Amino acid sequence: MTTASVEPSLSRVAEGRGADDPESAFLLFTSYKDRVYSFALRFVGDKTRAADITQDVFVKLLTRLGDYRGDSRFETWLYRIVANACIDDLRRAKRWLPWLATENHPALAANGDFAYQRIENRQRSEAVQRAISNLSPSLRAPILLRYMEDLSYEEIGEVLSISPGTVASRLNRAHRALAKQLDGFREGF
Amino acid sequence: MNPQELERLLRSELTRRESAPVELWSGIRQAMSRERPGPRLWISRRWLPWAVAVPLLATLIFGAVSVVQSISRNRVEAALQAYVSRVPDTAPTTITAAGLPVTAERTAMIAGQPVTQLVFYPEGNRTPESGVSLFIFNSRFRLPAGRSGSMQMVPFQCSKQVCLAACRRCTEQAIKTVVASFASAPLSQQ
Repeated sequence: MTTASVEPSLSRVAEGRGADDPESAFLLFTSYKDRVYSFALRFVGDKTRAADITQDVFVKLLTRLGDYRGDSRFETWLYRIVANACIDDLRRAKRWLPWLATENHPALAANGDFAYQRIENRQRSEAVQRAISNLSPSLRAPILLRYMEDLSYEEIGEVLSISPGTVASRLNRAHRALAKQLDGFREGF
Repeated sequence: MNPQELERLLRSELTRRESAPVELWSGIRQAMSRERPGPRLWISRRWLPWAVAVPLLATLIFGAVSVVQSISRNRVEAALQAYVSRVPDTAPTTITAAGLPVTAERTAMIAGQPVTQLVFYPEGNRTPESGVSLFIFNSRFRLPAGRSGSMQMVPFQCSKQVCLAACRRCTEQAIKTVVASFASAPLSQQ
């Protein structure tokens, strides 16, 4: 779905008819659901929690769309809601479910054509997810925004309310931590 | 692993999107029906706390100033009056400034107002007829006409700013004033 096809529904929902106009709201949902869900899944590493986060994000999005004033890109505003929801979820999980280990979900494994390739891909995906899960939330968010959404340093800074210099510093620290953990894996392993 | 390899690995792994379960939509619709957006506020959420706090603070300040002004405007004139009643003939000789035993103290209600009543007895004569009563009350209080009788008024100033009834300090001051009055002019002659 291109941005151009989303904008009309966005403007219609933003006029305050989001809750009463299921068609445009559903269009918005289908346009962004995979992005939101994938980000949440990578962030928390758990499919159930990622689904919950996605649901919360869209409820917030559709009920508070009137707060979006258009002074930044819609995606930036959306990622800010998603990142905050993910960080809140991690904080809640840390407080209430300290024993809950991050699930290494099979859904993240790639579908290879051959059995051995599938195993290798799966191992690599799990290692990347494990390494990302080991990052602190403040390092995890910039990495995901950078590599999943291909945002610039300025856009990441806008999403996370930090300066581009801080984004660069956090990415640098995250890179070093990830390189250390993923030392045994190579692209095209 | 060098930075280029890491970047390639992250891009190859993280750019793949996962499909969100479609059934999420029904959950979103249900949640939205529970969580209808409220009416649009005339002010953004960012300034909402200020919009509440500023009038509240202004009201509190205005209220505090009003209370202080009201108190200062209605400051009680603390000039108290002490009435001495039932002055016996023997009083000038038996009641002296040095030894004035207060033998009874109570709060009497006269015309619905609290009045401190002190009773003195001359030394060696504790009959009810020989007692001297000292009534202390606020200057705004007026004795009923029939009660004034043989009473003598001894006005004095209370040291407190706000004294609605006879306070302890007023009582002590009243005794001193009355005792000084006794010493300078015998009661029987007043």
